Amino acid sequence: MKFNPITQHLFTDNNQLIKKLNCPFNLNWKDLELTKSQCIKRCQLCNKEIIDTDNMTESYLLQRMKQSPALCLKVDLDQANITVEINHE
Amino acid sequence: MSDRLKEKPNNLRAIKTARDKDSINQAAKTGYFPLVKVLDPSELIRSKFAILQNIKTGEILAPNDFRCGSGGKGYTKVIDFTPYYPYSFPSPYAAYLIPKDITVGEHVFLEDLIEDLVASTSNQGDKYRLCCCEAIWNGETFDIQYDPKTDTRHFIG
Repeated sequence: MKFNPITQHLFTDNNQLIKKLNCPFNLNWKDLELTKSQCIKRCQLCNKEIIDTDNMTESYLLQRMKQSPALCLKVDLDQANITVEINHE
Repeated sequence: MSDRLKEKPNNLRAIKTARDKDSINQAAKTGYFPLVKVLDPSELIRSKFAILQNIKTGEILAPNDFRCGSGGKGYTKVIDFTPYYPYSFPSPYAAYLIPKDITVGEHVFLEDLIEDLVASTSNQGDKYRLCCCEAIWNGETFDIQYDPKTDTRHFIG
């Protein structure tokens, strides 16, 4: 996957948009509520699940976003499954 | 105030930012006091790029990640990874739009932060800026409620 930290768009390697990460609350991952899954936390402000994209495949994330477009994602710049790509156009 | 901010339990007032002369003046005409600040790009905020060029076609790639630094067959690196400030703004100044009824000590949410604070750091040395945060109005400006030393963020949304 590719992530643009300026626009906060997450793309597949083929440039298909997975999601624009646009939470205005400046959340801190470590402060979010734990769930039964290690890769999912819950936002108490919106009562929505947030998926940690580390170790997730782009096809899985695309499928989840298609099923639930309001779903939130978390991206860490150091993840092995993303590369940073800034498009200045 | 955005719909999402209305959902916030403590219901902080959202302070908007105007980033050019016309929008600053428009806000002033509609009752806001523009608190104008100079943009001061932080030397800490950095991304990087390299240029890989296809020797035959002349086309280039501009990777921002060391892991994409080869470009594959036919490409050669003509500019090695070079740090740069990756943001651009319409004006070298911007203004927080202060509502007339703001009170000293009021806790607000700055939707578009003017100051450069480091939000996220990568293990490749890149540092990206904080886009929004909470703040407290002290009567003259905002005391930003964010400490880059302890509050670095992942990208969430």
